[in-house]
This record gives sequence, structure tokens and C-alpha cells, in this order.
Amino acid sequence: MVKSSAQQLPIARKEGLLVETLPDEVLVYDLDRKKAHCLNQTAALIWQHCDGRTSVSEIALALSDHLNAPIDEEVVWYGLNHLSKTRLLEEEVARPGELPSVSRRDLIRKIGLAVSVPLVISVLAPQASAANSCFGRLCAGNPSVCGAGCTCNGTTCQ
Amino acid sequence: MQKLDRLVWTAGLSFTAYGVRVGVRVNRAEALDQVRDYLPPQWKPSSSPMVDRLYSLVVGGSDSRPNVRRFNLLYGDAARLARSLELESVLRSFESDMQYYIAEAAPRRVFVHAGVIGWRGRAVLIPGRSFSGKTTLVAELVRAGAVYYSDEYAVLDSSGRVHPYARPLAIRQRESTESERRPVESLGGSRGGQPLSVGLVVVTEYRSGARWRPRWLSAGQGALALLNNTVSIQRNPEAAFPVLKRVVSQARILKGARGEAKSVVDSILRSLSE
Repeated sequence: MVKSSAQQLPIARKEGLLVETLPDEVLVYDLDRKKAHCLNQTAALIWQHCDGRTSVSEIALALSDHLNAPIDEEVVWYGLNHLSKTRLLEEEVARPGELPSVSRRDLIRKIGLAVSVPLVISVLAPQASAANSCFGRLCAGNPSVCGAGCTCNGTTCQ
Repeated sequence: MQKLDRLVWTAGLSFTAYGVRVGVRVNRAEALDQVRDYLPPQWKPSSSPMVDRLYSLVVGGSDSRPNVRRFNLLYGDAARLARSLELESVLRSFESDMQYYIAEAAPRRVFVHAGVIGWRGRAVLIPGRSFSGKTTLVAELVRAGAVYYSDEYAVLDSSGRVHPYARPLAIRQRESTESERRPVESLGGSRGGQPLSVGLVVVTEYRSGARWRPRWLSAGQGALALLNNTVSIQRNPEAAFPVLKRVVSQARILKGARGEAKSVVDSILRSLSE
């Protein structure tokens, strides 16, 4: 059975992460999954309030205070959903049944442009070879070594 | 490795580059001069017998028997890296593997696969994979008066400043995968010597017929674009991640597909000056 909003106390993951703070964003590198995430200001605020003691409705209130704009629970749930999918929460959170799921477009329509919709952008860290020039790399007849845009001439990538 | 060690090595050299120690030994002394042409920029001879990586080059060529040619062979530590009748092909493999090794192992530098130029005391970084058009754009910026820093790597220190990696530019001919090495002086440019702070990161790639309509990205999005081209990010994220943050904290980030390099040069340099 899905808990109500008041019963769910999301906890931000702390272990195995590198965190860097920018003026309006937070960068997170997941050491286990070798993935980097960029949290916009709204997503970062939601994540920072996930301390295991603050309920979703309390997070919404804290965000309203911080951003000086009315924020309702739907915005927080939208952000939590993104944070959960990117494994930045200790445990998955489930939106209570009584709350309908909303799309990003619905949310923008609802909250307007005063506050940005919580957003998490992710990138998989490249292998060292992928972040290098393919030219001259040894492929020994295996073109997949060369990567996109490069061909194997039998011994080396060109 | 013991088998390799038993061969007769007539000459060798050891050097350091960006804090990495590399050794090269050859079976024919005259080959060492050719090897020097492929060493990384800013290499310094070293007298230390201890190296982090040892390359062994066996120069083949003609045999005493008629119509028999021996292969040129290259080893990196104990592993065979290349085997070819063409010595130049083997030397290019040597260059590629060594660059790659240094870029990943450099202890105090973060290497991002990117072109770099300097303009009025600040740097422009153009991160991107092979064939994204980095060198072409760097060459065009240099022709417009920018100072050349690199067409391969942005070498970043812990405070986010970029250092030169000014090897000759590897300019590809249109519709060809072959590249030609050209010193920057042949383009009428000069190479930078001092580290620069980064003023602009341009996330772009060549697309035939594209119109240059760039948009500004946030600092965080810029960091992800740099990370996506950072050689050592998987091996040493603790060192690389804060450096990328420092770069985007002081730079603006521009993103857009470009057509011909010439048509975007003014706009890029203007964006840096704004």
C-alpha cells in the first residue's frame, strides 16, 4: 500500500557521490554508476531537503519560502520522481494514489515561469578511449574499437 | 617482457611529460630521431631509469634474404601494440597510445578532449569527439588571429586554468580520414606558452549546411559537456570533477551546430569579448 504524502520522508543518498555546488545548480557524480548529474535549482533544493525528517508537504513549503513563489506538492513529487530514477535517493518514493501523475508540460502550465520545473540532466562518464582521438588507435581488424566516425584500416583507426 | 628484454636494444630515451615518465628503446639507433618527432609537446628528457610505461620499437625493413621484408613491431610494456611494414604507421600508433596513456595517467592535470585557443588573455575550449571538426575550427580561429593552444587536449590544472598542448595541427582533408600535420606557424599563427583562465566553452560540431544559431547553456550543462570528453573521469573522478566545476564557474557556455568554420569565427570571438 502506498503511503500518503505526510508519511513519506525521502532521504537523499550521500554515499558514493561527489557533489559540487554551482550558484544555481548542483553537480553530482555517482562513483558506483559512473554517471554525472546536473540538478537545476528546484531539483537541488528538493534533494537538499530530503533529510528523512521532512515530509513532501514540508518540502513544498520550504521551497515556497526559498523561491518566494507558491510551490505545491505536485512539483515536489515530480522532482522526487526524477531524483529517484537517477538513484539519488536512498529509497524509491511512490506518489500517493490520490495524486494524479503530471507531465512536465502540465507542470509548466500550472506553475508558470516564475519557478523552473525540477530537472535532472544525466551523462554517462565516457571510457578514456572514447574521450580520446580515434586516429592512430589500434584496432587490429576490429572496427568497433574505433568508435563513431572512425574506420579501421586493418591495424589502426583512421 | 623477459623475451623482449633479451633482444638487442641499441638506443633509448626516457622523458617526462605532464608528470608521467615514459621510456622508449629501439633496436636501431637511427630510429630514435624519428621517434622524437612523435613525442608529446612539452616533453623533457629524464635521466631516471624508472618509467611508468616502456615502449619497445623493433624496426624491421629488408632482410638479408632476397624479397623478404621484416615487420616493424611496437610493444607497450609487454603487450604488442602494432605490426606493420610501414614504420610511419607504427610510429603513429606509438604516438596515439602514448598520448592516451599520458592523458589518463597525468597526476596533476585533467585532460579534456578539446581544441583550445587563446584570445586577449582568455581561452576558448571546444570539446568534442573525433570528427566533430575541432581542428578545422581551431585552425580558422588561429587564421583570425587567435593564439594556438591545442587541437587535441585542453590540459587543465587544479585551479581550472588551461595549459598549452601545442602539437602540430592534424588537419584532415575534406571527405578524407587521412590527416596532414601542419605546424601552427604555417597558418600564420603562434603558439601560447602561459596558462590561461577559460572564458568560453563552445559545444559544437560541424553539420553540413547548418546555420550558426547558438544558445547559452548553464554552467552545470557546460560541466556535463566537458565531462563527456574528459579522459580520466572514470579513473580519477575525485580529481577531475572539481576541476570541471572550476572551469564552468568562470566561463560562459555556448552550444550550437555549425556550418563552415569561417562563418562562426567572428561570432565566437565576439562572444568571448562580450
